[in-house]
Amino acid sequence: MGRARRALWARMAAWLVLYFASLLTYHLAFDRVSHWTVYRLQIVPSSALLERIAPPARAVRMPTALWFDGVTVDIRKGCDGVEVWLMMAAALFVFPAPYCRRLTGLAWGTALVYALNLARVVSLALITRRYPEWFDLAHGIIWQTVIVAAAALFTILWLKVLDQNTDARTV
Amino acid sequence: MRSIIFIVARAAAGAIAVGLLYALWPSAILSPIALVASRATAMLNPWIEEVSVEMRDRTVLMEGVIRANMILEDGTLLEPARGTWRQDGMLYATMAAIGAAVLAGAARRYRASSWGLLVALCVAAGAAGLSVSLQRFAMEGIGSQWLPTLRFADTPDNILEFERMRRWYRALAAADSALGGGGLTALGVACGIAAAAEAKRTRKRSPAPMPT
Repeated sequence: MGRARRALWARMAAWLVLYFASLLTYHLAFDRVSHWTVYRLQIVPSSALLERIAPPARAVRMPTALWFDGVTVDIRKGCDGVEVWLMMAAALFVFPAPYCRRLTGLAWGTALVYALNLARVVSLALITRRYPEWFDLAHGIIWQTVIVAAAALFTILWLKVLDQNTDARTV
Repeated sequence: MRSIIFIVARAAAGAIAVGLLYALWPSAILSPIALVASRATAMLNPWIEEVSVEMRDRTVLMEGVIRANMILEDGTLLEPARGTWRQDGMLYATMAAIGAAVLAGAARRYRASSWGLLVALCVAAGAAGLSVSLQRFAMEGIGSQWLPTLRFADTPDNILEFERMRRWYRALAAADSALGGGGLTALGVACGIAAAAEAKRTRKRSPAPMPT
């Protein structure tokens, strides 16, 4: 294994360790921060978006769920986009780049993850109302893959992770 | 802008390919993961033996024999019992889809070895997750349904065995929570990056001879 590849694997290991540590911290602190991460940042804007998209239906906000036209969308731990954000933030911290690039990456990445998660919550409410049989597929595979892959690809391309770690071999 | 569209299109194609494979032929994704997971479970778990796996639609069914070296109140050794545990395969398909999306999106050219590496890493990561998950269900079953129905002798060996089981269960529960709550998706990303790095490996050409 070349030096560049070893460096890539070492950074990925460091990224996973940092990600799991931050995930654990977040899970432990969830009850204290969920008013912000779930209610203020997800439920309030999602319900406002739903009322705009599908009037005259009204959305009722609850601490960790929203009720919309007969459908209850429960936003649990892991559904608030924080896990994906932590994954991205840990990568921006671990992989080498100038600090300015990391900070601008964090800002753009935060906007990307937040916008995608809002779209996810709103679309899942609409899907459950119209096509409840599609909920599991949309929730389990489609949206999870979209958000995680989008955040991962954004980070890889923003930091040029693969270009830094290309293992050149002389033949 | 065009390159971003191409990256998104490639990533979407990679994820859709895995999604379609899972929808049409779920055992193509789940069987290798379940097979490795069953071997790992039989090797690592001290109380579960004779493990076999079976696919039922998109669910993995694992069957095994639970054997604990404990003595009952009447002095007889605890008889082994057979148990079945099940787990839905969606999380492992999602992990594979994420890995494929990252590889397809991040690398412009692919090598056969990059897809091979992705499959190998996804099977290893998925098997670790599935094994942990099934062991957790098994240990929960042992602790909450099977053992409470029996009366055990109050011996130091029994107490030690109980303690060992409890410690094992706690470790499994922590690992399962971490893997189920975002860990496996992160491993999917890591598999995709590793495979994309393999695809990007370039061969540096020898410099052309200088004219003399």
